[in-house]
Amino acid sequence: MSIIQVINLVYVYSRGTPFQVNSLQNVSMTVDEGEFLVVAGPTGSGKSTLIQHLNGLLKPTAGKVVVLGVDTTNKKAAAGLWRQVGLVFQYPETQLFGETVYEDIAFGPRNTEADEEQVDRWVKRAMDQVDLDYHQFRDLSPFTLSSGQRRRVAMAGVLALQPRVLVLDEPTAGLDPVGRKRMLQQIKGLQREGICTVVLVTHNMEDAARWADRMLVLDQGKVLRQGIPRDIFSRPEELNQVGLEVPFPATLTRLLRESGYPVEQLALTIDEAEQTVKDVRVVMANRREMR
Amino acid sequence: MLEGITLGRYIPGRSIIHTLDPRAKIIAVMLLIMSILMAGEPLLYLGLTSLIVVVLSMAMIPLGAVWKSIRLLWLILLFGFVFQAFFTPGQVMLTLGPLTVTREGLVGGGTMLWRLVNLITVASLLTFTTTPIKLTAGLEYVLAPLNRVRVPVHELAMMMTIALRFVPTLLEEAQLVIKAQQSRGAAFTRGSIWRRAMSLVPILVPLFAGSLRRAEDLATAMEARCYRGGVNRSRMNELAAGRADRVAVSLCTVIFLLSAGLRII
Amino acid sequence: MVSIRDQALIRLSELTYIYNQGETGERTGIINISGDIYRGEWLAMIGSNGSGKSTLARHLNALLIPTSGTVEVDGLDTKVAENLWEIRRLVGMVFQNPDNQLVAALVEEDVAFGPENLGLPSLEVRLRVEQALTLMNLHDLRLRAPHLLSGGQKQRMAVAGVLAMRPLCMVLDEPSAMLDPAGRKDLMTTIGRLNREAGITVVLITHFMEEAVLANRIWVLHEGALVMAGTPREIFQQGSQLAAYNLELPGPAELAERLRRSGIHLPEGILTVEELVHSICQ
Repeated sequence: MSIIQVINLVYVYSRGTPFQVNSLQNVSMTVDEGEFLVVAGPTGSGKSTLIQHLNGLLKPTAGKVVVLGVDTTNKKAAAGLWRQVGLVFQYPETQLFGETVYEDIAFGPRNTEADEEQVDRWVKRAMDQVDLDYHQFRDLSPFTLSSGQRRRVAMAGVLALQPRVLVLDEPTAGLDPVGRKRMLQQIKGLQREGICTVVLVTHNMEDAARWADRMLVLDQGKVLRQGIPRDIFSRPEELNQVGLEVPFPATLTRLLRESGYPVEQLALTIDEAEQTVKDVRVVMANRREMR
Repeated sequence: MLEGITLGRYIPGRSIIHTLDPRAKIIAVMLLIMSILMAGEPLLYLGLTSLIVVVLSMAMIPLGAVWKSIRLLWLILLFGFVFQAFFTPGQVMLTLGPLTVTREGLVGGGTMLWRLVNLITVASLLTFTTTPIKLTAGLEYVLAPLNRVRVPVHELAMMMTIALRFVPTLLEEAQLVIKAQQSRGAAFTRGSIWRRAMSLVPILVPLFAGSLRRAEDLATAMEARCYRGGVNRSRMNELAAGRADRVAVSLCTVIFLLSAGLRII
Repeated sequence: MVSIRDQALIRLSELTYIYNQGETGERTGIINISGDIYRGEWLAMIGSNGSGKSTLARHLNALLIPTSGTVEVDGLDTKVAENLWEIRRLVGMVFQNPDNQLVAALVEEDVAFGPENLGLPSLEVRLRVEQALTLMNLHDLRLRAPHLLSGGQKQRMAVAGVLAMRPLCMVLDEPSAMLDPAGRKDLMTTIGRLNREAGITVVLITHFMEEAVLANRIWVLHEGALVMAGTPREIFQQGSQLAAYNLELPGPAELAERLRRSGIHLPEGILTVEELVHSICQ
């Protein structure tokens, strides 16, 4: 069931001035409840602009964006969207300002009508979701933490609102491989447990291949392709032209297929690639035996 | 709105005005500013504005850019004019309820408007035709005498260079921070004055903290590129005054003396 | 016969660095590292967070001075104050955050910053700036304001700014961490070109294994110590050892290792997809 519908969305920055930029041109897409959707594209493709429409921060220049039944051009109704759609910007740790970790995470909840008891519950829960020990961290100043920890505090600040949809703009930017994996596992966990629908913006195709249910690929403000990862990665030239890489398992299995090996479907992860190679060898061995 | 700021931006070009020595331009502009403030005769107004228009066309600056700069400060201009028009005593021309517009007020307001518009244009002329580094180099030179009274002129000039470089970056960052806090329900336009002031904390604290981090990174990077203050530092664009510069400064000096002289008489 | 020892551009001898020595928060950053960085090579340094790679990088251009041990750059000891500026001219550095290393409001003025600091005559500065801009394909953008450039272009600007000082060595501290894949690829191609064609020694700190693979040699750091050194092929054959240091293998090497473990015979030292496909098809 789709909970977000973007219909022929057009967005233009600085309209009518010499700085006009046609950021989004006729973008149509949907987000289904409970899914993990990855929005991919090179820098300048409009991904950040698109997601800012999902919580009503930006309003369409033309076209329509309907989020959880609310048309975002309806100012009054859209004013409350931030409660349902949580948006985590890139390098969110740069937005921290609270005197303590608790105070910063509580900022969002305190902007609602919730009482202090409820706020406290939400903060505890959010910290748990990002793996920050409540008692250890709650009274620390965010500015004394490592950048990885600060990022988790920032994410908790959005999770504390218990949004139905969690939108993240490159949450793994700047992290090393171990940190990246850990964060994506946490986010995937939230989606799997039904806590929220996830829309993840990234240009890392390995992550997209591994975690996405569906993908949307943008290029220069237009939709290049939509669909399941396996379909998207079966067209490597298209992706390469646009400045995106194909994850190596897909490339590997495609090259094997092109060399004449019986590869049923492209591998998306290293596990699948391993299995594919083993299967292919079994088939090849059987064929040789039968001759 | 934030993207469209033209106040102070460099517009590349190769006109004579662009190639003038920045020191000459700074001195000329200072003289012109004082002339504008001191001018008392209508003939002088005409002369000064004509000169400015001529220089503008020599510099090939599109009028649109100038208009943008003026338009940005429309509030100040309007306020200044209205204040003068309504509150200068004298011969009444118009009555609007309890407020009266006097002839003297109109003249005074008009003069102030003229002064402000010309001031803005002259200042913009300087920043449009001088690259930031040349501008700070010129300032550094012109202010050099202050070195004798222990004013760190080079450091101030370097601070200005860096500030000019980072203003657009900081504006972008501010926009991002505002959006991020709005996404958590922050509202900056509701409630009492106190509430609105406090609502700026989630924007100012991150910007401040970010700037401190930037400053540290930048200082390290500058040291890695052998920066050690102004000692023995050279310039890619060596400042060399030529005839055109001398002509410009002389002309402006004459105008200034005329302006000041006529005022005193 | 010229021995390899004579070709060392940077020599580390029992380098140890302790943060906040004598105060609260004292901790060891680098423990007893010795090794040479040879002229003209491309050395990659990898290690998990806290391994000390950034700290080590900052010793190479005397931004940090050893607590004990020595660092010699082209024979110059970094502890000697008089050597400081020559060392920093010989060893340039490009940092992770593209924005926070750019000083001027115009591209060409920022590239000129380094040479100006060296006190070179104007014409010389102008010449070097032109050369650096052309080498980095930035000539068309030279009058642009930096904030209008993409991350990748800003990093190219930073490299140009270092090149204009004519260094012997360039140290890049996670230069592509904040770039998109296209920007990263572009930067690596550029670095490779500078290393091979201009002979500039490159020290690349990275956590991307696909980048480390491009180097001549790799140093692996773990908790302040230099634990492994060798060519990419040598290093990435030791998957279990790297795992103990919290490091992963490049994808194809990882897959090759797994396949070997389940009995499939594959040659050692596979690093790229092409090599893997080739080996499987044998």
